[in-house]
Amino acid sequence: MARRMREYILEVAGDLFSRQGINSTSVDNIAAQAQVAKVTLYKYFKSKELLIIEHLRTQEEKLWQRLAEASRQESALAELEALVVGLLDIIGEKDFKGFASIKAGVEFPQPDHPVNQRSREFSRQLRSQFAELAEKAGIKQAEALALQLALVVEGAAITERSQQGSDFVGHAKSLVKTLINSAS
Amino acid sequence: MDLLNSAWLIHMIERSGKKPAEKLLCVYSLLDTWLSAPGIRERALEEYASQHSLAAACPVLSAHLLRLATVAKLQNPAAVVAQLMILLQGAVAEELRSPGTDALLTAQQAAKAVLADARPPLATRIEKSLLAGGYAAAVTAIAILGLHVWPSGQHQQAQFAQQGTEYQEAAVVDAIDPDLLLKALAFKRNIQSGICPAPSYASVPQDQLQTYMHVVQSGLSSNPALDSRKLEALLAWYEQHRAWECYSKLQNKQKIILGMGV
Repeated sequence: MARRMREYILEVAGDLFSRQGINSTSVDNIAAQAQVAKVTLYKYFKSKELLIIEHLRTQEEKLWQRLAEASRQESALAELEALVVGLLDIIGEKDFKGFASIKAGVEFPQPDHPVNQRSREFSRQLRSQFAELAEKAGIKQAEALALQLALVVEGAAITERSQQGSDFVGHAKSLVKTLINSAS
Repeated sequence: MDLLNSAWLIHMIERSGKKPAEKLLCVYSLLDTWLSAPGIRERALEEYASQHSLAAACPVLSAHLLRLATVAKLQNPAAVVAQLMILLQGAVAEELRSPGTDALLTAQQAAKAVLADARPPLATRIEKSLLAGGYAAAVTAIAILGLHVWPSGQHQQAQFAQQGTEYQEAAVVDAIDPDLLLKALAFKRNIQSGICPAPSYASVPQDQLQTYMHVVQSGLSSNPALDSRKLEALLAWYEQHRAWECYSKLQNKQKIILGMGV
């Protein structure tokens, strides 16, 4: 029961965070939307900050799971491409509202803030996964390619969100192919 | 980010190289320099938090890149520019988040690969040198592409719609010398398209401010407040104080096109 309550609050909060932004969602908002007392909320999450971090963790987990399914391929090179294309596919989905962790980093730009640190950790993980696969595929400048691919994903996420329907995802996919081809 | 739509940036891009491909690539280094200037990062972060994408917020920059990509005879210039803008967007975001990661220069390397991939086949390149008139065709092509490719380009659409009305405007006003009126129309168009910087209201001389507002905002049609003398004075003032900031090559071309029309 307690676990379900915790998940329920997290879900309501996550929905508000992704729709209206973290900064413009107060604990009062969340309690009202979830129809629970503030005391109950604080019982499960000691602070808003912890709630945010927990929200980001769940979102990231979901994302990694989806990507793991999408990117099983024979060669490391194919896997790298499938991973990036998988991310772009998610970006292209109709209800895509941005990657939670990346967006949170923009809302909390102070580098010593725990939310910002979490956000940068997410980008770092993404990039190191690209780099790992690129290295496995025998690409010499694996780090550089990884950063290039990360820039494409981030750029496409922002662009597509504000200009849906203009097929930026399609452009980003051909961009990914070009970059991988010219590096390998 | 105002800078990305400014005539200044377009001017710097134009000065940065001879070949259009060089100019396309230098956008990244220009922004790299700009973002490392004192105080800029903080301001950019503030504006950036509003989460508008560059492609949507910078019609002037994307239109200019499209022009360069077309002149460079790249294959599918619109797709190339979309890709360049994605890279630029990602790099600016990354550079703002973690400064000093050389995100923009990495994006520049990626952009090089994009341009190399989109290079025209040899036959087209030879043809290019033979076709002297290709330039004019390119300009038309950009205009058409611009309309199709950038759905957010109300900017360009507005310009197109406006070209139609301009001549109506011209027909209504007969108190003003036609040559002068054409100059005023070109002036208005240059400001609206970002080729020339719009002067801040505070910098326009008091007695000319009203004329300026008439020209830029309410249009030139059936406007009894506008007379040749005032209009001439305004244009002369602009020529003297602000016109040096215009992206000159294009302005000349517009004059030529305008001249052919008359």
